[in-house]
Amino acid sequence: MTTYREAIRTALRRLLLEDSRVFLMGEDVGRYGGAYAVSKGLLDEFGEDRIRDTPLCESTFVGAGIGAALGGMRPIVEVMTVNFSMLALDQVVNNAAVMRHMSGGQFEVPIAVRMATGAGKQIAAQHSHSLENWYASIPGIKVLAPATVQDAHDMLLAAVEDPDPVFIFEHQMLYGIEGPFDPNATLSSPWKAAVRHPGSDVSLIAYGGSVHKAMTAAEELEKEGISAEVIDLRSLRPLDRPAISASVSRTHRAIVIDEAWKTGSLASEVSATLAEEAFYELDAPIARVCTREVPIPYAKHLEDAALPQVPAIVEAAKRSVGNG
Amino acid sequence: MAEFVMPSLGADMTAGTLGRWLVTVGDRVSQGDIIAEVETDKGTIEVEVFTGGVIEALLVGEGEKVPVGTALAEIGEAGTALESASAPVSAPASASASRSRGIMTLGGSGDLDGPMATPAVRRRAHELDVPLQGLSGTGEHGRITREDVEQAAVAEVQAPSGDRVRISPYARRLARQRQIDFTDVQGTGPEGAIAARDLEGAPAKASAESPKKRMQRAIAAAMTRANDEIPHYYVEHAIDMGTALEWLREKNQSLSVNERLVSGVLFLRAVARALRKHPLLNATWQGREVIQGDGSHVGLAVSLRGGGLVAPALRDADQGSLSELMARMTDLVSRARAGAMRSSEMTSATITLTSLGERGVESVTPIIFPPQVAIVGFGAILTRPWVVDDQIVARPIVRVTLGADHRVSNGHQGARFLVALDRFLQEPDKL
Repeated sequence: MTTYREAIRTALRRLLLEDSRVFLMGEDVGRYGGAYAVSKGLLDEFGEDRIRDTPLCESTFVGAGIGAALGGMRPIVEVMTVNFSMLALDQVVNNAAVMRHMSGGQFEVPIAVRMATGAGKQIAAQHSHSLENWYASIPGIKVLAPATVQDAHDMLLAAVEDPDPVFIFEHQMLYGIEGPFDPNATLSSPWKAAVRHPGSDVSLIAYGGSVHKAMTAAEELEKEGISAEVIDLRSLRPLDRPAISASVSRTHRAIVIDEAWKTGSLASEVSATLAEEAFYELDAPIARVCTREVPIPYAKHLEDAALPQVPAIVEAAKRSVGNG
Repeated sequence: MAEFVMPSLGADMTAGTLGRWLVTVGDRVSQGDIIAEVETDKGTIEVEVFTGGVIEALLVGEGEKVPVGTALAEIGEAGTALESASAPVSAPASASASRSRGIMTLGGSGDLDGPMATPAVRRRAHELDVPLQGLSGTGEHGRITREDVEQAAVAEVQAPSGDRVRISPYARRLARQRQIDFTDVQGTGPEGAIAARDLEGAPAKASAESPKKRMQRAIAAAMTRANDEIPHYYVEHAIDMGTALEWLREKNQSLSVNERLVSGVLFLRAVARALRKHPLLNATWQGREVIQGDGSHVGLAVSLRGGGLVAPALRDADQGSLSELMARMTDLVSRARAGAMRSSEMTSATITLTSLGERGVESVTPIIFPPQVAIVGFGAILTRPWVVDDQIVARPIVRVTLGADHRVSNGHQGARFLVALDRFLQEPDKL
């Protein structure tokens, strides 16, 4: 068993070893070993040229990464949390995402940007929001959300290999989880959703940190005789719409779990997709289990209350299945 | 100008399909003329017109299903309408009239194939699945324009449907695929919506059914309602038919075979007469109040070959001679069996008479046909030992059962009705 952060570190090492164009940069990724200790030890192994600590200025180092990618490098940029990445949004939206389009295909931006997202560690509103849906709405970039240890590794490899900007959202509660891991496994396509738990009565559609809550909910539902299918979206842009519709075509009911605020969330996008593409498969209204529309609170009980939790998922699934 | 509307041909009818027009634009009609056939759950009904005049426009095409109350045709006053109907296309008065009133008034000669619209508009109507029949044209000379069609398409989408059933999209799709009628299905999904699992065992869809099955369902609905809603009480009485049958025998000797009277016409007349004295049984219950019948309109339960059952009304069955009543009864029964009843006959009954005598049973305990409040059942006239003047003699006896709505009348009143009925049958010459 390997931890999520070790799997990312394994991928980083492999990329740094195999491709001299690859380098890592970000706040505290070198001497400190990364805010979530992902890059611990890499500075000693690869040196300051390839493991670069940056100033506290997201616009600068994301922009520098975009420039390096344009120049032929394969930069991996770590942003401490998605909250801070707002400072770099201009670089993302107006440079990284549009360069291929505006240059008529002459330039590409093969940058990989990793950042932590999500809540649950009592680090308050400025470090706990889930804003990946903002990124997932931008044409020109790709967005991944690894939920498993294997995906944390595989998706980073895929992101660096991809010729376009790829943003990877790592839920901060996942860095310590352990799971099966094979560094030499054949890479599955990161752009496809995965069935994490097959079921026939209701689809629990989630991504990132919420996948694990959905899995726990599915186990609890099973005890009550309800067979839930857990869908891990994996890729948030492009969204694997056929897989979502296919699951609901099997179960005819959908609960979408998303740690973002409900309004304008990926859960909204998934729900709208189902309404558009699987309307005649729906045997119950779609339900969304999302974060309350408040800044994530610091106090433990309030933070817990604000986030989607297993009982709420179970409750929504039971309501959807009805009294049969 | 009068409108001829889709009539209500039964208490539960909300919409009807215009089966066939029996008139065309320009035809002169008078009150009571049958001008159309309407298809309902109960079969095809001929519909009379209540206003005389000239048909100016047919607003609903054959085969179209429309809600009760929808204008089907416009009927103008004889003189003016004829003029406008024969007016040339360019006549300004005619054009402006048609612009405001709708369609099909212009050709007059009846050579127009449907409403006026250009091929492009027809194509748009086809694309949007909007029937041109009944669409009001706002273009020149009342032509239907592209905008008219598009607005109609929007209006159709936005039209609220009051009887919409709460059902999941998936279940609705399954129901359509499997031709299932889900209107009476109990939903167990979220908020009582019908879910896919609720469709198990639901009946087949009416449209896929034969008229026979459709009628069966209509009967089932009416009888279920009667049984669920109406607190029935029953009073039974045995009536000595000796005098009446003797009178009939003598009477019939002077009549040709076609004119001969049967005991059923005596029952019918006696019920109609007794009803005049007992208005509480001659009424309909309209949810909260009793609406008194405006005459002795007696519904006759007629069993159809193949299993159906209808009860068309013989209006004013207390009026006219017995021979006339006999003729009317024969006509009504044969038309009912042929499926050619008139609209007024389908709704106006305020009591029903059912007779199972010809089947040989002794008595019948009938169920009221809502919204009526009473039903009278006759068994067979059977020869029975009967005590007359302390002597046991053989007499022809019929058992009559009154089933009545206890919300409206009571057993005391019901008993008096049966006794009155008995008295009428003892004096057949006065019927």
